[in-house]
Amino acid sequence: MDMLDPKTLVSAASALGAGLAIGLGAIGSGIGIGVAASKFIESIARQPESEGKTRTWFLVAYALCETQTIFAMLIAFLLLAKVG
Amino acid sequence: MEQPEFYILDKLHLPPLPGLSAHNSLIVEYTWIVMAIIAITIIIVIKNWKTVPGGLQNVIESVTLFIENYLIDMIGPKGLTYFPLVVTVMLFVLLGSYLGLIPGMMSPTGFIGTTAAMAIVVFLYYQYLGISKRGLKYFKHFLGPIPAMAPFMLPMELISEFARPISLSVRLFANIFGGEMIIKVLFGMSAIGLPVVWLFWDSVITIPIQGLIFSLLTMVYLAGALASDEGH
Repeated sequence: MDMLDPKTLVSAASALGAGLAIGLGAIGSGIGIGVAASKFIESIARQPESEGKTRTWFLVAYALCETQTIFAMLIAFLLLAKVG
Repeated sequence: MEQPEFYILDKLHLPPLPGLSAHNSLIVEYTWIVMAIIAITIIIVIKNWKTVPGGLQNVIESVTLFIENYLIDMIGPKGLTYFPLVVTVMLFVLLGSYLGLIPGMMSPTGFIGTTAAMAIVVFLYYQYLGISKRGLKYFKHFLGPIPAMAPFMLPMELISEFARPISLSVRLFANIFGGEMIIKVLFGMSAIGLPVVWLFWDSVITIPIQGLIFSLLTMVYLAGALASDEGH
């Protein structure tokens, strides 16, 4: 019954939560950036002159998808501070 | 009270990560260093102005021409009025984040206070622009296209409006601070070789994209507040 004292429990739960946070967060951005990149490459293959203008908006879409995973990474860091 | 400037941040009881508390850290001094670097760079470029630009002038011109083209595209010929704000934001994000990659220094943008300050300035400024252009009718766009849908649209619109400064500041802070944390972990694992991978990724991909995003979103929000035709 020594394992259930509050400090250990909070440490264990924080470590588990940090792992889950970044792991599940990475799924979403993987799918989102993959979709955006595939459309971008398709549009370049179709019309190579549009590369300069489309590239800016592709990078905007990349950063907006990545933001959600970065929020999850921030939560993981906040939880890791409570471990140990 | 001691250190009254941290009163609000202390009340929030945030975890003791270095990016969330400015006690015993030199954020303000690093911000002065970034300000000095920006000012000296621009003065050098202007003093040695060439018609066929060389190295440093080329770099600064790539930033300023990019911002000018987008301002004129999105806002029209009067867009250049807002050029100082956008170029300051972009240069501060870029140079402030690159400073952290130099050993022994930390980025001012890796602290939630700096990025929140920039996001709040942009937020208040474009609200002010919308109100000064259209009066209090500027807030009618929260009510949605049909007056009958107003009770449903208003909470959603308010939340997404306030999500703008929050996401703007947390996006930049988490990218830069998370990058510094990962560099710290990689240096702990192996002193030579491995951290170069993350330093490369950060400096070539993350920081330019974050600078682009912050300034592009600033321009989009400014253009949205200044839109004179009722399209919503």
